[in-house]
Amino acid sequence: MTLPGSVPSSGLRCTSGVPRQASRRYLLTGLLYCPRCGERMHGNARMGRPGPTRSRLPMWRSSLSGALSTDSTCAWLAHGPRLETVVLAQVLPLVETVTSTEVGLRAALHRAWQAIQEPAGAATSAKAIARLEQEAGRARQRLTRAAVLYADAEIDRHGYELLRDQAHTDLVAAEVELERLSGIAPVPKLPDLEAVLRQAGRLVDRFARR
Amino acid sequence: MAAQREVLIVLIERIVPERIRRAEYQAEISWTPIGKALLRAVAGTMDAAVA
Ligand SMILES: [Zn+2]
Repeated sequence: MTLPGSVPSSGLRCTSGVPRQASRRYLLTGLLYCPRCGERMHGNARMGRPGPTRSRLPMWRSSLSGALSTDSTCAWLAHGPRLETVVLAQVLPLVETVTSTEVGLRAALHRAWQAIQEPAGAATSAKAIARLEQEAGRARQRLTRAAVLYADAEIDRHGYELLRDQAHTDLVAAEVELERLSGIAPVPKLPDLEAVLRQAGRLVDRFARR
Repeated sequence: MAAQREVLIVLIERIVPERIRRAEYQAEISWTPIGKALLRAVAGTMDAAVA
């Protein structure tokens, strides 16, 4: 498959020791990580196999760094165009679907986008968290106040223990509930859907209309 | 090229390729939060269509 607009890539290489600027122009630059050493991979046309197509075919590779290997470079190589094809085969169907101009689908997408950001109970949870934080704060103030009153001899030991135990019980209850609510996933902050779709459409324009 | 790369960067956090046989690859894609949200939104529209 030819990918219009893509820089002819011959090979993708694991290159932690290779100057970064060499691969800035490839489609997958900055996204690929070597399956062998975990380093970011870099594209370089000169790493392609010798022959008539060498100058047009980039390869990607990484370099192995650190103490795991006595070898300074990781030899894992990948063929650029084939890798681009595999990645785009996963990305384009999603992009084509979301950029569909079909009115019903677009409306459903907007509803789904909205729903993701407003999971059921999220607003209620936010209010509950605010209320519980206030309750916990008040309980802490009551604990402090009880200690001050007792220190100033305004209440006896029995009175102090009563105030202290009530405040402590309220504080623990608020904190337990806060901990439970904090385990609920936060609402993701997503950008405007139309802005995302406009940007995604640029990918389809270049790769899907062929 | 830069424009297409920008789109991929919006959607994809990282790609780990795997060679399944000579010159044939699979790619394990880690999506960005926006990429994940789009996947979920598309799945949501499909659920709605089925329901
Ligand atoms: Zn490597």
